[in-house]
Amino acid sequence: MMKKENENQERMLNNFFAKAKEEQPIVELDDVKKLVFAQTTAMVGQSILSLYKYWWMGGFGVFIGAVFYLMYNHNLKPQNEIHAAATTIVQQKEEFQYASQTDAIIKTPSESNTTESESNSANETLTNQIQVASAQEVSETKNKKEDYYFQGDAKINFENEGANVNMVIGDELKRLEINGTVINKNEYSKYEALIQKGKALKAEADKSSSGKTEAEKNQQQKNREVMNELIKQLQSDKMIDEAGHFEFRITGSELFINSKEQSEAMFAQYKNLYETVSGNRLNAKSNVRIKH
Amino acid sequence: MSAVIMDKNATSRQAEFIQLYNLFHARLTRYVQSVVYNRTDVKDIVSETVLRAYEQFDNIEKKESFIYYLFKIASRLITDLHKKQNRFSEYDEEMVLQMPAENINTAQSLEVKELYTALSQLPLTTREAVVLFEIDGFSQEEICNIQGGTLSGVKSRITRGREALKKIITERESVKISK
Repeated sequence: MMKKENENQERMLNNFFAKAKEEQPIVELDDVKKLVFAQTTAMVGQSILSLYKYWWMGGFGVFIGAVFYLMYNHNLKPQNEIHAAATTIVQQKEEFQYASQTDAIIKTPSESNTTESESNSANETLTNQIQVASAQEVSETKNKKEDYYFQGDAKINFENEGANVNMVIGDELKRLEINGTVINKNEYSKYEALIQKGKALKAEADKSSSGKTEAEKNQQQKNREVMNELIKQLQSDKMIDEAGHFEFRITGSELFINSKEQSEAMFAQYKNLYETVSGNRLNAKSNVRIKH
Repeated sequence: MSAVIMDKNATSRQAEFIQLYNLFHARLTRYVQSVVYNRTDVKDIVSETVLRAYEQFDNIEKKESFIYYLFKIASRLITDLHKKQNRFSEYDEEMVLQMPAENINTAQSLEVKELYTALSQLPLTTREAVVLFEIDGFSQEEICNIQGGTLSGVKSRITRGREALKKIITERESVKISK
């Protein structure tokens, strides 16, 4: 009886299971396909978006390329072009040297007379005047940073009602400094009187420098020759870098090239060269500078 | 360019997955709906199973193991759902009524409901083992692979589950007859 009952239960259960096997799935296969397609699209989109983090590298590459392009086209020249450009450089140096003379600190009348008297009494050539002016400038501005200006710019220094006024004037006022404080360009209108005074001094200096004598013109030519020879020697000694930049300074006792003090042998070589070409002897006050 | 290559790879990968999944879709869905009795939950679990399997599809070395991988994911999801909501301790008539019956005759549907009612009273692991063995047609070794544990444990769960189901169904039948 029990066995028969158990068999019936087994049959009934198997019957139930068989019916369950025929049950239709409530989730359609098409729904799953759509789901997988959507997931694929999302994954592809995510992969593409993840590439964004590398795009900055491309941007950086373009930036570096642009920097190199600008450097090559605007600043750097290949070394083999230095010789070809030497004449131009010499011309620029020569002009610079005269500009330096013009730009030499213009003193207040009393100081200016002192400088002129020193120059006249020495009755030296224009080169010597440059040396004297440079030597004085160095001694007076020993603790100041050396400034170089392009042709046409004048550095004006005078005292006005106890205030120390410094100006750089070219076609227009480029810099105004009162008692060591640099004045903002927007405030120039407040110092119109000072500016006019500075411009007048500049005009006076221009006027005096424009009337060059025959002797001065000859000296200009001589200066050009001196600098040509110096630059040639510097190039042969490979003291001029690829960009054509160098800084040369020789005094009566030492030689500096690119701010480095050179050996005695080098000093003797350049001293001899300078004295031979220029016909002037370097003395304790001499200070010849070339910078490019 | 890389996006196009990626797209082609993704498309071929998708086609391969669908081709393989197609073989097991009916079994997987039947398994889930035999253990979980809420239509929404069934859809959620099947969807989540498919997505997880698809994400890891490249990592499956043996494609013949895909079916076990699929059922393992489903089993874990069902366990998580059971723990979270504790919905399956009692059979819910309303949940069963949500199940589709369009393609089945009424008598068959009632019998299936009867079975689900009885199954819902079994512990989850036992219920899963019985469904996988009796409805989905897995062998005991395969169930062991899906559920984990030992083979004797699976055998024991199936035997105890069947005995419990017989008892529950007989009792319900006798109640119906006495009414």
